[in-house]
Amino acid sequence: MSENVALTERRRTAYLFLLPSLILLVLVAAWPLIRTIWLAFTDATLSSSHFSWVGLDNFKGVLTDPDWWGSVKNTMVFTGISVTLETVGGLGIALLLHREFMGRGILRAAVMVPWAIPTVVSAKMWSWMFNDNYGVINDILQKIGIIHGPLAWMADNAILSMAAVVTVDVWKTTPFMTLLILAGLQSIPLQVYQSAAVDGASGFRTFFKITLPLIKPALVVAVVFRLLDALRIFDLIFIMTNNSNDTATMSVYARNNMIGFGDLGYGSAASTLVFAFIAIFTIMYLQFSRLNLVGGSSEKVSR
Amino acid sequence: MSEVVFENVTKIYNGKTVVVPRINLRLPANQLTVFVGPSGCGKSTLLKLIAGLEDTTEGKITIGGRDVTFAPPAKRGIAMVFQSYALYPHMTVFENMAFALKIAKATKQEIRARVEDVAKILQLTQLLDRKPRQLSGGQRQRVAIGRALVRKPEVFLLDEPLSNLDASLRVEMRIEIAKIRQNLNATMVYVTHDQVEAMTLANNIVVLRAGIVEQMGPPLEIYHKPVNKFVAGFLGSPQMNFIEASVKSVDGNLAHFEGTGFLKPVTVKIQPGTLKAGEKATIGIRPEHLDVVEGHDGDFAFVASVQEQLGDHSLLYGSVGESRCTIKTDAARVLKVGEKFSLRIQSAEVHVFDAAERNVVAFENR
Amino acid sequence: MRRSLVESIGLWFAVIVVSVFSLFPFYWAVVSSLKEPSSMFQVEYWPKVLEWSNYSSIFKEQPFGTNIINSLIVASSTVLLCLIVGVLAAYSLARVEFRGRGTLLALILAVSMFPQVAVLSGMFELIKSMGLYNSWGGLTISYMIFTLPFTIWLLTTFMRQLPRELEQAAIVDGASSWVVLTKVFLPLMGPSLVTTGLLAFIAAWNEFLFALTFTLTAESRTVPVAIGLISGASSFESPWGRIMAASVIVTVPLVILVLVFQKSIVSGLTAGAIKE
Repeated sequence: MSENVALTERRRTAYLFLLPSLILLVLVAAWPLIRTIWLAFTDATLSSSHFSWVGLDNFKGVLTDPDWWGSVKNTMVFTGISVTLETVGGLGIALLLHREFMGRGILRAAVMVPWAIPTVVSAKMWSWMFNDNYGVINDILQKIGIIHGPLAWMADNAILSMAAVVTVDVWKTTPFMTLLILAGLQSIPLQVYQSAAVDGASGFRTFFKITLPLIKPALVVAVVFRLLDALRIFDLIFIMTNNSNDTATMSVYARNNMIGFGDLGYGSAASTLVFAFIAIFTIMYLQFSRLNLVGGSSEKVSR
Repeated sequence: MSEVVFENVTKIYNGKTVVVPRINLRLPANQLTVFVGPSGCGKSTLLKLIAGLEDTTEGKITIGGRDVTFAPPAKRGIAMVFQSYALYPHMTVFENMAFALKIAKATKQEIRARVEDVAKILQLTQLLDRKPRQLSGGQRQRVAIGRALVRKPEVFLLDEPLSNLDASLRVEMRIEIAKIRQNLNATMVYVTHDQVEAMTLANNIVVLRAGIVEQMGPPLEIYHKPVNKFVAGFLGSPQMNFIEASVKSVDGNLAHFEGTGFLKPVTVKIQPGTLKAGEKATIGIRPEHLDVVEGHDGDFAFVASVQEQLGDHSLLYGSVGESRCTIKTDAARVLKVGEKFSLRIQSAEVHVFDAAERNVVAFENR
Repeated sequence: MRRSLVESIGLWFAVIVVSVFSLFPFYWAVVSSLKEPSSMFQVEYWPKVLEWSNYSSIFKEQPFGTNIINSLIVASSTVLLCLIVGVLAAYSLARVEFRGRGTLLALILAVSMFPQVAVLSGMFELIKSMGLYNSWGGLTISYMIFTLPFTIWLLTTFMRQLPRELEQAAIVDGASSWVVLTKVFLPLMGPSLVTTGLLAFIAAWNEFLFALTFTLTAESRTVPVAIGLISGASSFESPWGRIMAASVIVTVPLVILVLVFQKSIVSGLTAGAIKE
């Protein structure tokens, strides 16, 4: 059963069109990843070009390093707190923006500003605000009376520095969550609310029984994206609190070993573990969503 | 010669869904054939198969004697008018109509000549510089037709072209299409679910159900001589009445029917050997062939439930026995709902459908 | 439904709180940048005197102007490469049926989930071996790993929304895939290309880790790295005034860009994330 000439030509052209992207992706993603994993099994360093196979030594090293486990804990704490705050905050602001009121446009613009600012810049701005002696946050807190002396946010205090870092991330990322959730809210037809109003549902009931279930897909997508981003985070932590073990995340640990200490093999092993971590998480999510989504896959285009 | 032939064509989607089980069809050259049927019957699929927008799973398609089964759409000598018109939004009317010719590398003069010719026929000359969004529905429709005409196709395909227009525009465009058909030297294949379009435009109608040709023939033949209950019920509005009955007796060609609601046995000439006494059957009579008579002299006892006045005629909805029944009668007649009336069959055109829904009436008599 | 007074007040309170929280840091950065070094040691909420020396000194103390140009070139070439390659890929993924299409799309998306560290060493080697270390090319190519996947994903989503019959009409008219893409689809995708380009530009502009690792000299750094590494006379002092000035310079155009193209950006972020 052979085929219409035109359809064959289309298929062949499709492969051709895909080629540049695939080549690029193999070049910049597949190859470096494989290389990193390979290097993890060697004792390569940044300075020398000779290295030899060391098997699982690097991995053993990483897995027995308390700093590694500290970074894992930091990553988990950071992710858990930020994503929770961002989701709740995003939901709140989205609900706010969903209403019609004068000045809504200004609010939306204001909310997008943190997202627009480069991470590095945000990190620096907030570092300055958190500065122990001259920072405005200490100043405000003292003036309000919550604290009596300046706090050393970025010095060796685990709780304070984690709080600082989380604050900046929440500030920066809540807009993103807000937008995604808002889109979900806006896709609920007005008539659903109208019929709930006619049925006499109160505000709370409407929210929990109608709004929340209907935006669940959008919420889930937003949360998953954020989780994956938070688990890999590097820039913010590195800039704000680079030498602190209290906030170092897994990515920071890996990079510092690799480039900071020049221990390419060891750092690669840590990097590989980070990758494995994210990969497992992603796969779990994909499996979970495949079970839940009914026909929402990309195959839908065919008819 | 631009005859379209389907030879043993099968179409299966995704290895599972059989849209066209196996079809053999010959669409006569230079005539307008209408594919009509309920949604999902495969009429659009057949059109796309002719166009080459879909592949046959099995079988052969020829146009004008040429085997086009594996040819791309542009090389089949076809042109198509889509349901949504599918005009290129960013191009002017002129560019829309010129697109195919440009691809075929025709010269500028040739393109200009052809486009202007067609524009004149369709009264689009004033609109050549406009973009689709500046046109009305009817104008867009004409541009879509123009775009197809410019290619001088052997086969002209139309996929529900009028369904996006409102009622009055539809009538106007139907007449336009009829006029085009007269001047065009091509085979036209027209898909619609509207039987008025089918009846008025077609030289031939192909009635489809689930990918199978139920009947093919000129409109009046299908109207007056449907081969089964499905075709009989599909053409004609309001729908033909189907009255449940049973065979009282058969002698020779004449069958006598009785049933609930029958005031007296109804006699119909049927094809020999098709029915036996005691069998169940369905009598088919069109609403315009029944009328209300005074007294109990009629054939059926009718209980009316709703009367609709349409100005020039009125429709009576009700039942005969257990079967629903509709009558078309003068507007002047105003009848009381709930009253029982007696109906008489006013024509020799009575159909009989056996248990397998085949029409077993003898046609030669008419 | 009319709102009660309490509700209105509550609403406005929330709006004010959120707005202040969002905008204060930026305000503070501007204020701080306009202070002269000595008055940095007092916390003033409103500058008494506007002092512009910080702004001139960042350009003097380091090649900040060059850094800005570097960022511009790298981000622009990233966008260009992504769009060209991405549009082609998106056509195949959005409109042509072939086996494994769904898997391919998922794989491409999966690439955007890679932690940057995971490819760092491999990428470092690659860049060096191609002779692209410390250059614009090195950054542009390496940026593909996080810009290309979502560019393809977004463009595919946009392309799917184009009407099927439009493509069919073009095919019947004899158009090849290339003609359909360039003469029929692309002219209709202006807004989509702008949205996608913007998001890619912002992502490339903001990038830090690769820019830090793959450049060596101060002249070849991009803006994020330059700001990140601004250091003062001693290792205990950061020249906060200058840092804030640099931050403001970099932020203002970005914020303007984002505000002007707000709708575009929002539609891009949500189109990519919300499944139909």
